[in-house]
Amino acid sequence: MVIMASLTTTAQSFKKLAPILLFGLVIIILIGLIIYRFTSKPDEPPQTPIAPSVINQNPDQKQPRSFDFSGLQIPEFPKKLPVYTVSPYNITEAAAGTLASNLGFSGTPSSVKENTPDGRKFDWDQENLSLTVGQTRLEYHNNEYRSLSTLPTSGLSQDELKNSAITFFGKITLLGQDLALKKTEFQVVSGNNRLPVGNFEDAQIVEFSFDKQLSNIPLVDNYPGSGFARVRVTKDGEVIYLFSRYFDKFSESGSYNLKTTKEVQDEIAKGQGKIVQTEVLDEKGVPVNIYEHPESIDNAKIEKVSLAYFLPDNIKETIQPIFVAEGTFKKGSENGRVVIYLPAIKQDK
Amino acid sequence: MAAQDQDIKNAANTAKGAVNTAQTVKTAVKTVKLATTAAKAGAGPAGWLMLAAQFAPQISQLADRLKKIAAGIGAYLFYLLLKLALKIAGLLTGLAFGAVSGLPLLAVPVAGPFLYAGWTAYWGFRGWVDPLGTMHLATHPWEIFNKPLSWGKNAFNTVTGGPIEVGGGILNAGAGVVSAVGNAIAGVVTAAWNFGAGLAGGAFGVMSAGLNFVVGGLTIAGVPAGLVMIPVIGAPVAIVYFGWQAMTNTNVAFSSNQQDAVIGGTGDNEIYTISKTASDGHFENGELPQELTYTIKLTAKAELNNISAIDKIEVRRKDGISFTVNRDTNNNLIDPLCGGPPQLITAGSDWTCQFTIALDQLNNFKDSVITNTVTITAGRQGSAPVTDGAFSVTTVGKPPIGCPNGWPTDHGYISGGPEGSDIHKIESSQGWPAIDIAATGMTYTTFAGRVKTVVNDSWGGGFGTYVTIEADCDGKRFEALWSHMALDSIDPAIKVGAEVGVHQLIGEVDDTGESEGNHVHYAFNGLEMKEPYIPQNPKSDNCTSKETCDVEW
Repeated sequence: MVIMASLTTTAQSFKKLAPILLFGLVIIILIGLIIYRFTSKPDEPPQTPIAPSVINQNPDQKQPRSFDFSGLQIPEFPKKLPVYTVSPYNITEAAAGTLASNLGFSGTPSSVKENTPDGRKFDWDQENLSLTVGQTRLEYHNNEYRSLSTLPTSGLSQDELKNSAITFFGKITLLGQDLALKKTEFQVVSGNNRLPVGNFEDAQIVEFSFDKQLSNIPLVDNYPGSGFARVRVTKDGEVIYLFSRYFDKFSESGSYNLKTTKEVQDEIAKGQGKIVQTEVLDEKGVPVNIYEHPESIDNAKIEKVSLAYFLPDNIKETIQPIFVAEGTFKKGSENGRVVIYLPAIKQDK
Repeated sequence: MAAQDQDIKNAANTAKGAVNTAQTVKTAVKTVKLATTAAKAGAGPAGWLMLAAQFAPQISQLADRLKKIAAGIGAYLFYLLLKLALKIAGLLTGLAFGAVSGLPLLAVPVAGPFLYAGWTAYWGFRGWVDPLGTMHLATHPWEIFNKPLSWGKNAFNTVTGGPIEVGGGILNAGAGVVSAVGNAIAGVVTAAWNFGAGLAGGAFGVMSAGLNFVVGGLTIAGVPAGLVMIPVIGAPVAIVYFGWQAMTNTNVAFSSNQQDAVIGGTGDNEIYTISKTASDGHFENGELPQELTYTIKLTAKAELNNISAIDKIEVRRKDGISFTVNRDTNNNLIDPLCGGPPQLITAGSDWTCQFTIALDQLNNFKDSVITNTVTITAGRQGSAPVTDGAFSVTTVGKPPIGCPNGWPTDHGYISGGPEGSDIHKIESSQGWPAIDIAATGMTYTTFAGRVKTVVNDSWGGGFGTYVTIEADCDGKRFEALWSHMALDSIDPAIKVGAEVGVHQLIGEVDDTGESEGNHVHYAFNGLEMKEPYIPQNPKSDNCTSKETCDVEW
């Protein structure tokens, strides 16, 4: 009886406590939900659509009739990469003047051009030297060598010439320190042109092209032969030409999924890439024509695909990743080289 | 919706009034600047004002920056408001969803009300994620601060500046303070309006959200779940739409810059505009003799001095002969223009020159193109002179427009013939036989056609900065190429797809690309590089120098 009474009392106590326990349970559940909500990452927002980079192909250049990917080994690419926006400097006349004086120019600019595609541009023109400083590019010429009847082919070593180029870069603080040598070309002067030669010994002029990197990926423009910066040096170490772009900063502006390697191959095979360079080469691998005229290509054998960031003509557009496909083709008995750009960001449908 | 639009328009008009006030202040500031200039005649106490006027441009720049900062803050505040509105919309719609979908929980004995309250509170807190996954309405409240939209960030980036920027210094700052205050006021007003416009837009959006919430709540019972999303999506869309519309409309109102059209090209730069109009664009041969009146108008945006003007009227006939017209109908020399421009033009003032030439002899002007180009060089105190130009074109009869005619430069010589090097030969240039023309100055079209390619690049596949233009010559389609032009020198009228006339400016001769020395690599595709498409063949096709080519103009 005592036990029964005790059980009854206990049961009644539980009955009284039940609402409180249930309430407590609800509170615990709510707290649990809140903790879960706070600690779990919000759903990743879907990829904002982005217009692909505007890459220009010569309107007379046709796509190859076929592609061969048999020798292609595509490395692993990241699944996602950021895009960037670029902020130019605000180059005032005083700032341009400081830069000019570092390069040996004096006084105020010879002329100032307003509203050019590169904004306000300052020109110095003094005897054989000329300098143009825009908001994102500069161009320097030293034409003293043109007074010589012939340019010598002997002088400093290739490394010494490269050091001359890099030292000259150092005078232009805008350019930064992160440029990497991409290509070296050997040239001779012929009439109103510079023609390529296959080796250092025969060259009168050596041209060094430098790349800039974003996230360890090279930044390229519509012309693969262009480079972010180029310097020409005569064999005596005189810098006769410099062209470079410069920007204040690159800011990340969202990350985007990239196309898979299969998608890249499919799109190139369908002719959706842009052919940005075609060259016919001689037996030494030197272009037979300094001008890149469109070529008719029967079959392009794609040998390499890499990633790059594409610097658009209009820098107000974002800097987006692209795939750079490099290949070869046959033109009669000669070999040719073709470069194709393909936007890398996957466009969600 | 119409009433809301009207409200926005009213608000915009009010703000425009405020901006007009700011413009008045700016005008007053300009007046003060003029006064300082006038004080140059005096000395002593007015001296600082003279100095101030000299440094006004630098301070004006500073003021522009302040204006951008203010506009950026306005944009960011609007952004914050927008995000807050989204949070509220998310909260309300979440609560609505929780309240309706949780109704079955009330049937649970004892715990029902608690579960219902908890369920409703959870959804209120969580907000609503639309099923399409296109818009995340509400997550954590603090995202409003820590995750700005990209355009919000950009608004601030524009005012960051670069490390090499050179400031004006204390003297400049003091001297230009008047100008700075004027511009800063305008900037603050702009920013305030941007903020106000955003606020109004946001308010409309919130109202819309609230309304949609009520409607959604009332109709939800028995309505398919998918339809519940209408208010959820409608509210933020309304917020974005009204906010964006209000800001965009007002920005347009602030920055709209209309310009009257003229016949020919117009020069416009930071310190002046130059326009040239011809009284007629075309005469038939039978209509000669005629008179042709040119009007040149120079409008100063800043005080101009050291002004010079050069005018050139060139006539190019179909038979290849070209000549210049040097005198007007009164037998006065055209150059200097109207006796020469004034030595000083104050900001906002114009200088207009008008003269008439006679097209009085049929044989001289038959089937010709008359191109009048004016080049102005002017400076403002303390900065380098700026050169700009304008042109007009009048045609008579059937001018030489289809086939190439004349040289692409006013002066120059052939430095490389069509067989002078491999790169000029038709067989090794993919069908583009070429000559090199050593020259300085500008290069022009040699026929009327359509622009096919425009490339502004320092390398450009070896051509540097180049243009191709296509046309029909004797029923045959062909293209011509002008290359190695100076970077950024291509005339704005030369755009892909644009129709161009004869002797229209293309750009400046330079040596971009694989070039040595200033020259034009001038090439045809579909035509031979010889007479009559060029005025004179070189002495030998394989010439490689001025002497061996022996053609100079």
